[in-house]
Amino acid sequence: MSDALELDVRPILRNGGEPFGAIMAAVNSLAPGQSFKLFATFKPVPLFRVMETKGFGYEASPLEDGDWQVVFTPVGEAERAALSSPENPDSWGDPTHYLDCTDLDAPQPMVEILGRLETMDEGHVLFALLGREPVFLFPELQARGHAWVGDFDETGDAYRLMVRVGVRK
Amino acid sequence: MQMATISRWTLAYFGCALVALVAALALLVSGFGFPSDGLAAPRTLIVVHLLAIGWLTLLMLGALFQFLPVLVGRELAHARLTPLALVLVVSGLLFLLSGFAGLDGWDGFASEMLPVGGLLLISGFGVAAFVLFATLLRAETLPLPAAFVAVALMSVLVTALIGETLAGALAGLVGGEFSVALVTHGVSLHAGFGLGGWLTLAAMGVSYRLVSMFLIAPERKGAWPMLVFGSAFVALAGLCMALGLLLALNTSLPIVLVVAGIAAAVTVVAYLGDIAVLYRARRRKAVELHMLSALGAFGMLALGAVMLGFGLWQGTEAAIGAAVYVLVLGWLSGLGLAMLYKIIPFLTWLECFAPVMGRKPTPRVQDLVAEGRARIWFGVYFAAIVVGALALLAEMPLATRAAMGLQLVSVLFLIGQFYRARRLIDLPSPWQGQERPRLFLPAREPRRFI
Repeated sequence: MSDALELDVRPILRNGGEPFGAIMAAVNSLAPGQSFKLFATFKPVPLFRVMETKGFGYEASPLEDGDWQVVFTPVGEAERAALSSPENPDSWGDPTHYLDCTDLDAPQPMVEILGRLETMDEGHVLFALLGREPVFLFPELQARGHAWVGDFDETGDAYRLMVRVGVRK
Repeated sequence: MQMATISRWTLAYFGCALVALVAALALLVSGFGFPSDGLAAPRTLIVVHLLAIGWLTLLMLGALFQFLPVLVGRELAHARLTPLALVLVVSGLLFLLSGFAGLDGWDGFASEMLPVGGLLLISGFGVAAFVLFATLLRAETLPLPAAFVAVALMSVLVTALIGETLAGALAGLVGGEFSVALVTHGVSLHAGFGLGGWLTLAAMGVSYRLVSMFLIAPERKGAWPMLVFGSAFVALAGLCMALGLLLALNTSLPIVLVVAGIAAAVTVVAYLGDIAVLYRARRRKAVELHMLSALGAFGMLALGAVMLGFGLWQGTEAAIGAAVYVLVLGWLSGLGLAMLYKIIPFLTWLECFAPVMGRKPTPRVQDLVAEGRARIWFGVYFAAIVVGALALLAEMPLATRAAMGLQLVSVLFLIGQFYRARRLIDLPSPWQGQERPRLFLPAREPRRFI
């Protein structure tokens, strides 16, 4: 594993600046598996949640002068997937597979989605975009032990579906 | 749980409906009913009710049991009652037809069978409406197509109640001035609620969703579809007011019916405008046969509405009969046949291939049918309607029967196609060994979920 990338946002904070952009730029530049060490003037609690959804665990330690050092470490995909619980969509990892089914007519979206799910490992998440609520898909997802959440977007024109792959039967 | 499963009795409804359609067309071809008999003659009433209840209502109920759960994203409520509704409606229809036969003086039939049939029909529609309303109430929001269905369901109940009162009058159970007024003014209200409020509104509601789904076009929203719904509501309110006047005062106020007629015309024009927008906005450029044939049905709605306006203005039996013929056999039946051509293969596909989706290669739904063969017969069907309508207007009974004969042949051929789809006969060779579903009896027990 390569060395942790370090970012010190204390100067930005002391100048009254907003460091979020710089932090995200640094996070996005990380190599796969690389850790990220952050220095801040306070314990950046809101950031923990953001980084969690991006697949990072964290370890925060106070420094002598009231500043904080946080080391974010990427959690292995398999480890994360196993940690997530089917009942709690908040615990699911980021989708690893994406499908756009908006231009497919029924039942093709179902075929695409179920086909893709067959290739994925347990705990991994598929994100699919559909033209309408796939009501005939849900019994099939249930029969195969997958968990799902979905809703319409703000315009009501697209249905967003996340499926977490269940135990292979 | 937000999901829909295959409605177990829908294909049984479709099977009964198709039998009634064939029977009605065969009667018409043999010279039974209009135009050989008068528009209000018992023999005509036999054919009309065979078409309106046996064919169109059973078709619509079977479709709604399958489709309403899809529309509201909830499972069908009290699904076990659907076979009961089928038995009640079919037996009610048989009694009703026997009653008309009695009215026509057939040996062994009595007009008293009319109200018995009416009561059975009311209970059948009541059970069906209960199942569908209970499903609607499960929905979090009511999409516009579902609102059409809700109003249509109320109309079918009103239609049946007026019908039962008419049956009582015809059987001589209700007498006096009221029965005279009812038979004079009530029949058009009965037909208006049945063909307009129930069948046409339900077909409009269902088609809004199906057309946008099959063409992959964004759903119609905003003021325009609301105008369709609003004007339909005004038209129905007019019919209700006319009904109230009839019940309270034994009279009819023509201006109310004129307002209802204008509102109905606005409904049809606005609806057809919406459908045109959907076809133009489709993301799927190739139009499959069922949507091409649906265009024929939409054309028949436009033609039939113009002819009905003309017929009511002229007041001649031939013109009104021809208009009703175009609306019932062209618009409602044409749309029904076109949708069956997609729905039957789709349900068959789901039944056979849903469990293996994604695990094994599956055929396309289109692989269950051979569009080339059916295309000709859909063409023949709609051409025969136009010829038949012209022959009715020109009062040429033989030409009318010949056109109806062509319709019968094309319907029989299309039923043959539905049979082939159900039996998986046209499936490409890799899937020829696939286990076949039952023809139209309920699907085997749905999969149990843990």
